[in-house]
Amino acid sequence: MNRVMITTTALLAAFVAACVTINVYFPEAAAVEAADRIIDKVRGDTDSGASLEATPRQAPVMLALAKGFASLLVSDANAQSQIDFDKPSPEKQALENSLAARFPSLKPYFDSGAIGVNDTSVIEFRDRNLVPLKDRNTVVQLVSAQNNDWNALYAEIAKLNGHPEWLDNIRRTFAERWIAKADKGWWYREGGSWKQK
Amino acid sequence: MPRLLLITQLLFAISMTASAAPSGVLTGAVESVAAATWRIDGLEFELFLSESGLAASTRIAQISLLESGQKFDDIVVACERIAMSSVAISCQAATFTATLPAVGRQTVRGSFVHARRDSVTDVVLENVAIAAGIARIEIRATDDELDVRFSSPELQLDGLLDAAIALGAELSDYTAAGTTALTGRLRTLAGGGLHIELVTQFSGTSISNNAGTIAAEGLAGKLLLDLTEHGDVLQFDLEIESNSGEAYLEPVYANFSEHALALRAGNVSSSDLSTFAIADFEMQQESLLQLDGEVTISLATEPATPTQLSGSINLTETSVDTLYTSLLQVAMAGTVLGDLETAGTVSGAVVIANNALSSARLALSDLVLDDRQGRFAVYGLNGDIDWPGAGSETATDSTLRWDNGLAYNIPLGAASVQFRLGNDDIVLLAPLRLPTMGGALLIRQMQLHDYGTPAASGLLDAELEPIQVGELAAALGWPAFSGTLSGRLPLLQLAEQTASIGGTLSARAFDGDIELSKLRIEQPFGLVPRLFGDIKLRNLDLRQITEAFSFGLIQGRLSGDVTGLQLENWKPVAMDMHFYTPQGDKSQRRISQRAVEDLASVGGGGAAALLSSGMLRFFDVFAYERIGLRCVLQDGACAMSGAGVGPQGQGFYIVKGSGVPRIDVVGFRDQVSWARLVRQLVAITNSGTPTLN
Repeated sequence: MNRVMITTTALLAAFVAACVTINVYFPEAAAVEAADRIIDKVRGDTDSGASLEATPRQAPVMLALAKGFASLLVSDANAQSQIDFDKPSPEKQALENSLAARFPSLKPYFDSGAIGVNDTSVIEFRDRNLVPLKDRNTVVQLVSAQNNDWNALYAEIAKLNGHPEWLDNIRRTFAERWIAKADKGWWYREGGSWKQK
Repeated sequence: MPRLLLITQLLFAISMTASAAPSGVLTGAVESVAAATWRIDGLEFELFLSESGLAASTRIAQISLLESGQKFDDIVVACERIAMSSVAISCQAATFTATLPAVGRQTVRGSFVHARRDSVTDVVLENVAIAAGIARIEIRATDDELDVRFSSPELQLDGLLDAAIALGAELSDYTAAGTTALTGRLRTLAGGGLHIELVTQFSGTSISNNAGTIAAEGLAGKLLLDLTEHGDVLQFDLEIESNSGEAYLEPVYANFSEHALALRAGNVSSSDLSTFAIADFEMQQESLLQLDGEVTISLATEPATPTQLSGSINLTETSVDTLYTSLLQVAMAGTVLGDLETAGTVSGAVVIANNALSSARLALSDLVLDDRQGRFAVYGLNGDIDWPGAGSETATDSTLRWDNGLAYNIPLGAASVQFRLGNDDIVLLAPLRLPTMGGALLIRQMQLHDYGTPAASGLLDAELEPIQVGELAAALGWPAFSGTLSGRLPLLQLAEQTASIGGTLSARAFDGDIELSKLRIEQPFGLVPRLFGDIKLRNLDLRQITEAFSFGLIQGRLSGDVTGLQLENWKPVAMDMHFYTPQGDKSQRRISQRAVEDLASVGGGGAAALLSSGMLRFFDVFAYERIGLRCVLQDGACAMSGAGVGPQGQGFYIVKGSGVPRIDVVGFRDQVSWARLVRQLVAITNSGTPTLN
């Protein structure tokens, strides 16, 4: 009897632990797909081939298994099933449009190495001296506006999915995807130091 | 500058040593001589008779300057003919050889005189090679003072900078290029410290820090400096004039070729050459900018720590465009004020604390503020603004008046407004009547309190005096139709960073009545403006509507109810829209062939094909019993229905015909994409004028 009790308790404990684990799991693969789509849109790069090249960090089979496992364990609509990083919202739409509209003005400075994206996925100046003096405060203004939009977009995606605490994961995913998709020669800052793609 | 001091101290030391020699032919050595600020080690001297008279040579192994820790090795002073009398020792033709930091070893010619009675030594050095140029240096040393005058017609700034860095100035973060003429004077002060006066005339000058947050290119002009160093504190007056080049002090950019600069900073003090307290400054940029006041500025050393500015600044006739593009726009990036075309001038006084405005009293003159995204514009804006900020001072009344403006393409007329500002508060002091579209928006009362905080509250009592719908339609790019629109807007809701206004509007148009109730607009100028409301349409004349919208002609009356209307970015995303023939309608109800086709295409039915193939095509107009079309919009799709269930329980009537020949338009598609429906409607209304029968 005791043994049965212990087994049951252990199973329950495992069950509860499993539930908890699943509920805080950040759906990396879905985030990667969404990040790729948004980054392509912002860069005006509609070639979907680029996003296919990207290797998701998690194999789709594993994801399917994880999802199936999750639905087995959590009977009600769990957090996972509500996750959609492409969930539309007018704010998200407006932010994506605004980012895409500003990107062509910023691109020359990505190309020249004056600016780059860091690992929290916002734009930083790498070397202001690469920007002509007369354009410098315009670029500062553009970078500042673009970062406001990026930050608002990350927060909006996290909020739309009911997980504001995922903000950092979302930032990291966007940073990784941005770097993966960066043109040859662009700079990015990782772990405090600048690297050139 | 410290380098000049060094040279002087060094020569002073040398001359003192020389004068200490007895008048005779001898050689000797001194192991070390020390004073409070310097020390000489390994001094050897030699006095001898040459062909021209008494000659001397002094060699010093090392001179150390104790305060700065600088050391100079192997210094030689030679004099071919020393003149000695009871009053003076002098040498008209001396050579001085020394190794100077960033200059290298060089030998220069010069002279010295030592007056024995008052112990004054004068040294003149000619053609000292410094910074790729030549300088003349005159030194006067007394027992307790050193006075150095120097002048050079042309020096290279990079060389000067290298020399300054080599002498310990913390400028290694900077690069410089260009030339300058330099005259100046440096004196030690009796109580310790230094006084420096400089006049430079520079051209082709570029300066930049490594981070690129401080930079200037192509400057040409004049710099005057009057500086006192006392302990660790520098106190100075500075004047700069430049009529060419450009400068950037993040985030401020200025072009001096277009508008010459005159800057005077009086009574400046600094202890670290990065934070400057300026007690009295004046800055003028030809016809653009005139500022004066008292500020503390901390220059950006790293990009992560931007230049910090605090202080009180007075503005006189200063260009709003310059202020906006060179200063304000960066701070407002991403807000509704972040992308403006501006013009006009502003005068007044502002207080700034750590780059943020903390109070302002401004007079505006002929301002233009025009949002490049077309959300709003104000032209010919004049008036006075008194914003007290968070301080305890109560503001005086503010007044603004403008010639005209635009809100989402809707023209606004001239008006004036009187209000009082608090830190996060605004209270309208007199009703504001804003003429627009043949009528006016009358705001009787408006108050906002604690705006932008969680405790925000507001009050609005506004009325729309009948405006011409035709003008509204024109402004919004709708087909022309006439009517009036009026109503009351008593709703003002404030939440953190968002404001909503709302109320009820009534319109008289198409010979019928339209009422917009529960109207609420959230963040009208925000990222995504949202409009909510219900619309009631009663007994509108369909003939006028179809004519106005170039739809196939329909005669009769039309009522409608739109409930739960929700617009995002001024586009519908949810609503229950139902148009129908009002009950008990006695008017003549006829529908043209084209209208049948149009409605059929909207309803997704196949009536058009039916019309063109059958005998019905010989008739232009049909009678109908009722029309109905309903769309429940949700998630981008319309759940369609119409004027009742269709024949044999199939589909739904859009037009239920009557009489002979009778035609029914029946819809069968109960889900229609909203985007597609809109495309179809646009195609219909763009397809030409309806046929009149």
